[in-house]
Amino acid sequence: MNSSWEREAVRLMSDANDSGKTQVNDIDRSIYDFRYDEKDFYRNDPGLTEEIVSKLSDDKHDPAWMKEFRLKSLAIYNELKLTNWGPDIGDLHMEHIATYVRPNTKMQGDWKDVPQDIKDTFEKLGIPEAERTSLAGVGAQYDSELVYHNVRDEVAKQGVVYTDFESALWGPYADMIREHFMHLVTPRDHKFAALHGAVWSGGSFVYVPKGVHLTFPLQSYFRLNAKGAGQFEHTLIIVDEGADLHFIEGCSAPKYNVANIHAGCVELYVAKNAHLRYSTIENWSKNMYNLNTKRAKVEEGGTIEWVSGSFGSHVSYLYPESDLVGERARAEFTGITFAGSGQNLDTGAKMVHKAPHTSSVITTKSISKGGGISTYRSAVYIAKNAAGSKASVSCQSLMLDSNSRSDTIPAMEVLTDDVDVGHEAKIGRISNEAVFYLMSRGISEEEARSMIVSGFANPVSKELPLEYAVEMNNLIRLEMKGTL
Amino acid sequence: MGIDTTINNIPALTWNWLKINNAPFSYSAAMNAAGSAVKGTVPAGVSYTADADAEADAYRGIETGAGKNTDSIFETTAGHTALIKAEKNVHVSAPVRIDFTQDDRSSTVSAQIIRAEEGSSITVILVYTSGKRASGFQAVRTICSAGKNAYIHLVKVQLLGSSFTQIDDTGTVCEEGGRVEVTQIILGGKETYAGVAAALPSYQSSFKSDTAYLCLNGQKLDMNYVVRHTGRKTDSKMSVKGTLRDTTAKTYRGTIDFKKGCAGATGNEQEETLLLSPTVVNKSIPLILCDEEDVAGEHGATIGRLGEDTLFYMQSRGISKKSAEQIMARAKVTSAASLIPDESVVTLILTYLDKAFTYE
Repeated sequence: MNSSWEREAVRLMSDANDSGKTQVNDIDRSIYDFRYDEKDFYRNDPGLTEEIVSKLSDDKHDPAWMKEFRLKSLAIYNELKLTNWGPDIGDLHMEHIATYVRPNTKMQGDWKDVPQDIKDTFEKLGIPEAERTSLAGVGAQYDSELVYHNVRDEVAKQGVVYTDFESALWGPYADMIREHFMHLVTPRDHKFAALHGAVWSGGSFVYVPKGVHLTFPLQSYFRLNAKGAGQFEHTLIIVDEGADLHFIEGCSAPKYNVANIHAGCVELYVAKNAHLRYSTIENWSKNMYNLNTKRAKVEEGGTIEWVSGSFGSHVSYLYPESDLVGERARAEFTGITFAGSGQNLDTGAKMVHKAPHTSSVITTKSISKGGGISTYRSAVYIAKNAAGSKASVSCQSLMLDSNSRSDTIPAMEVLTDDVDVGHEAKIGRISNEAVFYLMSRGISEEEARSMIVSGFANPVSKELPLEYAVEMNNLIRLEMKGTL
Repeated sequence: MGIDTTINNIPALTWNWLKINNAPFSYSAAMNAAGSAVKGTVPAGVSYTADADAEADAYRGIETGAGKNTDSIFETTAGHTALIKAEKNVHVSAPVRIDFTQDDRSSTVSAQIIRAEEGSSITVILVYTSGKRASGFQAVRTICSAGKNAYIHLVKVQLLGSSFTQIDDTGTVCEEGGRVEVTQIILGGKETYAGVAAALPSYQSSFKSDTAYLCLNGQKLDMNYVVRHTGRKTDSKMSVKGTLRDTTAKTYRGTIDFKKGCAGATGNEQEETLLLSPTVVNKSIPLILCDEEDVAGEHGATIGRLGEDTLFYMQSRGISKKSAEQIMARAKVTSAASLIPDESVVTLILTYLDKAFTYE
């Protein structure tokens, strides 16, 4: 028993024995996999044409520049090809996808004003309760639009702006939005960034003023209820000089037998000496193509921390990028990916060092079972002017059966000598010795394997707020059911 | 003949903007087939055939590191493929040495097949040299086939002139219990494309490679190493160590590919790169592809300049920074060179190294 995660499993076992309980309770899959009819919802025609994009823009009352931006993005989308690497997305046919589904409600600032079925959805997902107990503000998106947005008074009084994106486009921060919107992730980045530019809808805008430290996180939750539809929310966060924010993003959807797509975009601006933690638990349904793009720009002395759990989706392409543009800027990425039956999850991170004395750390875990495919993909790029920079990459993969697949594809490019770059990767299975050890102490084999996997995932779960760590462990436990 | 293609293609593609998926390669001058004559006498127990076209057919299709896109180059060698064979159960103690002394402005292609029959062992050393400032092109393809419980040690030493371009392409395959080791020293040339592909289709077959390089004064080195584990309880180890100084560029692609059914397989690759100038370009991509549960794969890489602790230790003993760097760069080469069972070749390497690694 050499590895830390095997030792962690033993610790968990010890804790379990102390409490008389071996694990947190099972969760019911119906927490995520339930759906409602689209009663009185507006749904645009499926497909992607200039007319559809124009109508979407008109329906949303976009400013003129935004309509022009959408149409330019559509032209770029039509021009760009699919990548020649990564999972196959040949079964994703945009001509069958509705890019805009609007619930029959306006955005509300009070849960009691949200339509009952939508409110029930978020109640089941635990969002209002989380808001009451541990969040500084909440945004809840249902299909293409936000249905609820609220921020605590004491937070708003500090000058923190947390609002839906559409309101921000016309409000006092309109110029700030125009200055930052899709400047970090441009439509030219890849085909699905262009798609996002054309049909984005919903999402949040956050501005944390200079020196403000939020003690509680803000959370946006994205729920895609509609069948054969896409969700394209845009999240723009600006953390000003010396400020501090923890932002949590959650997402889920019920499962359908047709493809859904999520092509959101997250742009994070971390100013001088500011700190931003961006946590995500992604549990999309297993018919979802998750083609999300996330990028952070970090100024001098600033820090971006990504904590990412990828459990859902049929196919995922997800590699949050940190652009370290100021001296001593720092980035950390801690992630776990769990690929089960029918899933092909291609995840990882990109670290771009563009200034001296910058540093980055990537720590990832991936688990494959039941025929799932998990690929860890990363890039560490150290520019010529980034002397004194340090980068460390550690990725571990766990194979739970021989029907599954796990690949590790880490790239490093270094353009100067004054650097310290380290990389390590391991791939393997649960050791029989560890399972035997746990079983010899009265734990069933299934429990033992589940505990070892939880121990393996512990470096990620310990970075999450407690309730999300519990959710993640539940998801792991659920996925581990019946693996023997 | 001319060629305009990509070589050293990586088995699993990644972002194109990194320009690491392959190496673009073009060459338009005429190429001439060159023989592979053994230096000195052929050791007892070894059969040598200079033109082994008939036998060569049996080895076609073996994957090589530079890849199929170089096949058209090696078609030039028709009628000139050498076969070096160790007879069954013969342990050849003396290495077989083949020297390639390139003329200035020469352009040659050569190919060798090394076959170790069941229970045999053999070491083959290929040494490429030319005048210090000679220019030209050289392509070499070497196929190693280790029979049951046989052992092949292939040594390749590249000491070409400062304007040479070289493609050094290798493919290996092992039968049950067979083992191939490749020791590669790359010090010369202007542009070097080194590719090694190792197939381990049989039970308990194994592969080991030790590569050392030094890139100075505008040299470019592009490497692609691939090990395919198909057989049960197969094992691979790859080590790549080297130094970049001045305006030089190095790309290392290393892949351990665990195929379904290779239960009990283990693979390990390690890379160490010492960077000595702010104008170097270093690219690395160590891959593990895994389609089998019961395996253990690891890779590690360290990239950077001489550690402050090491430097402080050496300087406290009166060694200058430049000398310390030279000592460490030399050590990376000598650790691989120490695996070569021919003192004269080791001396050749160290002499070349000492002449090359001098400071202004």
